[in-house]
Amino acid sequence: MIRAALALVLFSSGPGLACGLGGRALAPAESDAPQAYVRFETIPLAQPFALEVEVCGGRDVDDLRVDAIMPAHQHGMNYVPRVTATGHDVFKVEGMLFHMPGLWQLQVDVQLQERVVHYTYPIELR
Amino acid sequence: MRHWAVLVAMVVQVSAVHGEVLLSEAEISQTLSFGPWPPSLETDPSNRVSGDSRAIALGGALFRDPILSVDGAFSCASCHLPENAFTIPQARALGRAMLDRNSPSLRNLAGLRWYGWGGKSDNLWAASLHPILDELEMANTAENWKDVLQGGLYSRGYEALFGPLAAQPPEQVLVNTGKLLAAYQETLVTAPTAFDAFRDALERGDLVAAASYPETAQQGLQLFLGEGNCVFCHSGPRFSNNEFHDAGVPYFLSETEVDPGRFAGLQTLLSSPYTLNGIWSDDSQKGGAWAVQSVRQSHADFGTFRTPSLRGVAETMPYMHDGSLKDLNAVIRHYNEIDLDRMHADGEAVLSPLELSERQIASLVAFLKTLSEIRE
Repeated sequence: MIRAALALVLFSSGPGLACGLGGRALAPAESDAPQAYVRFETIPLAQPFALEVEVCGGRDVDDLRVDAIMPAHQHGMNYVPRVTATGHDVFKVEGMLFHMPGLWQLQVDVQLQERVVHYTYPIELR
Repeated sequence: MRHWAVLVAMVVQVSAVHGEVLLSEAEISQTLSFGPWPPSLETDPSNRVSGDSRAIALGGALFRDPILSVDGAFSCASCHLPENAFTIPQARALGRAMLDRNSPSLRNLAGLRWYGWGGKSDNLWAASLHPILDELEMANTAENWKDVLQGGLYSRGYEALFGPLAAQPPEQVLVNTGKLLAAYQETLVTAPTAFDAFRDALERGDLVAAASYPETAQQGLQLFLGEGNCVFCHSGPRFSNNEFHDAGVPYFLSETEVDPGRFAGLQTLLSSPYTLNGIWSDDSQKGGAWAVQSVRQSHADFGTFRTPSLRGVAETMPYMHDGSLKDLNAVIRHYNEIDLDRMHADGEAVLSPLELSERQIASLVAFLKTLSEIRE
């Protein structure tokens, strides 16, 4: 109970709102970018999977694009994931597929009214 | 974690009386990902006769019968010999001319995401149509095939499954024939091998049984998982990620012709009516159609080919998309001395010469042979 309450405080982005609960923080390219989180379960190798992205701060997100690359291999995914808004600034991303084991870099571009903010998140797949 | 700690502690005791399990905890975990084998068979929802015993029998008969060829010259079995692991021992098959690629083995095909070296089909029944229509192979047409089928030996069996032939357009008859052939091919599954006995013993913590797997093969498996980088592409129970890669094999067919591989495969796929997203799929949910809907086209697809499964690999020589490597030893030596100048400029930066020793090459070959039923 105490842990749940603590999590609520940690991820709260506004009065009475918990943003990014249970998610992993995406690393923004700019320091003044709103916080964003990604949620996913165990990722299967070479099989499709889905994830969820949430952008905090109560800013309206006009568009959100997700991709991933393997920096060491100099290639990305062989599929274009499908992004669907499922709530206010919460997006479901389907059709992700990591076809090789190793280090992948998740890339998220968030289109806010005035700019595009770029985020990354490292995922090691065994 | 505690489970593995117990396993590792047991290794010392096992090695005193038998061979030894050489794998680390991480390697054991990776090894478990190659099974269990065989996978549970599920019927293909895009094929209404998948798993139907009558369709399997009829598909098997058609597979072996040259009646599918416009002039009775070839059957499916002409280039996919049942007694030769459903491939041929030659580098490339001779159709009405020498074909461009090695005949892939037809075993373990159920449920793949892509079919063929270039992945021009996303389902097995569509993949079965290409050789029937290809001018260099069976050179048939839907119209001619319907005429032949209508008055022949197989019409009763066909109609029992699909209804009256006369009422069906030729294209429907053709697609249904592909579905019969697919129903048969889905049953071609390789049996568990010495590797699977090893993997299953590790899973149940029976290190005494696991230790009977030859040490040379274990050393080869360690190379497969580590220094050899094989597992980058050859992953999962089929030992294939079923995606497309440039393996450094030349894609020139002649001085003036190239094999575009996946690049051309995608062109064919995306213009085909016979995909899981098309009207000929029997699956109203369009399961699996996400792949053709969202597959990405790229210049880097040029000269890439589908990762072949390594199940039964010792029985399917020669190797690579053009059949240019005569045996497993040659394949390992190819990766050992790979010519990076042949690689795609914007291709993957994963391959580099392995520089394995002769002993390591022998170990890797020994491991690969345990993926087949062939015993030394």
